[in-house]
Amino acid sequence: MSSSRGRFISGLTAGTGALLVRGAPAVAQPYNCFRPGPRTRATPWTKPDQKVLERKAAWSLSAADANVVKLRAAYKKMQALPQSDPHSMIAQRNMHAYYCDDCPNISTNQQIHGSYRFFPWHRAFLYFHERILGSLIGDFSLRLTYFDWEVAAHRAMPPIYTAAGQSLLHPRALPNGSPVYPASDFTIVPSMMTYVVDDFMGDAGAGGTPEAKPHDYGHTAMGDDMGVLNTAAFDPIFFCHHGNVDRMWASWQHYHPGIDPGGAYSTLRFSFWDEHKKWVSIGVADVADTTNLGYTYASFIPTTARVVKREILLQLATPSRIGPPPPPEQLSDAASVDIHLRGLAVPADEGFFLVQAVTPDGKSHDLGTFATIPHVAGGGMSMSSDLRKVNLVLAVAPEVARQIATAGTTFRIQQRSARNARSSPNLLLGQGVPKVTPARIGALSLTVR
Amino acid sequence: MNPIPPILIAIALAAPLCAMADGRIRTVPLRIESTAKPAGAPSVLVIDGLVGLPEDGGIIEVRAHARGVSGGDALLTHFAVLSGKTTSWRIVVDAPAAALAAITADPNATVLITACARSDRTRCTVISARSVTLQRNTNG
Repeated sequence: MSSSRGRFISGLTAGTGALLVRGAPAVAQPYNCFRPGPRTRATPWTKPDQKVLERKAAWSLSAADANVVKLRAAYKKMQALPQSDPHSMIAQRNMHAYYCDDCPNISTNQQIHGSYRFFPWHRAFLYFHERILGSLIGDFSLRLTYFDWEVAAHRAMPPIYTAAGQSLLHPRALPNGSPVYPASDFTIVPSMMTYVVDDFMGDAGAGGTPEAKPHDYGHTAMGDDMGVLNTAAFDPIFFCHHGNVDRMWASWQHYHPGIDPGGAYSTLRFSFWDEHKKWVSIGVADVADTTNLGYTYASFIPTTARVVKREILLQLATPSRIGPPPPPEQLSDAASVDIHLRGLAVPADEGFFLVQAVTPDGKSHDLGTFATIPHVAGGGMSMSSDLRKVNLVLAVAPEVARQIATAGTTFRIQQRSARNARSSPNLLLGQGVPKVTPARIGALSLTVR
Repeated sequence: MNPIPPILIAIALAAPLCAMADGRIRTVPLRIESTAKPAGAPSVLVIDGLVGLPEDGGIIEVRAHARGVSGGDALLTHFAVLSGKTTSWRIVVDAPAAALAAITADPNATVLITACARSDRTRCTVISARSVTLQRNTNG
């Protein structure tokens, strides 16, 4: 079926659906903007009994690979299902399209692109897609693949997707072997170097770097159905491409453990059809760790800027004071250092916080800021869902790390009320007298890069 | 008092951006925030509200015009957007440190934003933005 024919047929079927929808508006809607699930409240997702298995790079797999055989069999069944079946390929496409920003009935806070909803929604979408594919062949060991375009030699369509006469092939104008990304000027290094969560994931109203590049770049370059949000998920390569986008997030999470946008992000939930055709809702906490969804990646995306030389666990004499220091040579070759404050207790009321280390000579060092802003988007560098404790990772200059990794260094927190701190874009210049309290830290470590 | 119709507010906001109908290149002032982040932390371009983006998005290229930039302008970053309805982005810039330093030194630096059609990358138009801020790491 040609791509244009595919659109024509799906348009026809959706048009028929419009006649069947009770109370459907008289005005014409894009054909895939019909609500994908019931209006009843979705049942909270519960983790099934599942193995944690690797998703592998598409370029590393051949047609004979057992997982590729499963994928092709499962997609063949999915593509044969009628649109009315929520497990059908058309229904999967429409699920993605409905939450894109082209549908008129979608409110801003439901759109899954151009904000920090991008990564968690798509991770959940791929997870349920994977489970549905597994259910269609009765084998839940099936795993999606990822398009490892971070490797320059792999920036063309993976052969297992372009071979003729199999279900992973989707009609497109792009000839086999054509580069999907510009060969000369494409890089994802800046994205992976980003250590500020807003720059990587975006915030409540803005997209982050990886969404625009490489994600949008890939959609655009592959073109045809993939090049349009409404139809993108009609193409099996969508799930391979997004596999690597998800792997970027998993890699970034690996390099920046415990960091998410916090605030309103923590309460986001998304609804999907599961493998049992049950309408379920899943929260961002459920998708934060891929192993909770039954998969890992064969490898993380490497980034030269983030090669970890060693982790140093600092012993605490008290919850706010360092005990015996690490040997100095462990920090002598540091190009950058992240300090991890795990289980840092913070007041439950909202506010902006500055973490400081005070060395035995009385000198204080500003290590970084975070925020607890319940129900308000944006803000914090790191928050767990429990607002009374945070796992905080802060980048510190190596010379600062060397100074504070000393016996007797204490940590403290300056707190400003959100109202005062918001009056200035810079916490350090914020108005009002900050409240200073000793930090109470569960565990302290340094990541040396 | 009657409320101001939203359309008038939109025109008033857009007017400074669209006023150059005399053939001059339409550039956007580049606001620069220089802060000392940890060494190696990248600079970030905060684009608030692309104006004139085609409905189906496009390939966006952001070039900085500033005194002292070799060749007159420098590519800050380029990226693709799939929909014209997402117009705000936080993008880690690709520009070399030397170019960023030169741009930062010019208080009158501007950016030229072009959007090329995704289906035909030779068909490009100059677009605008409500604001563009370069958050430069002076320690980077």
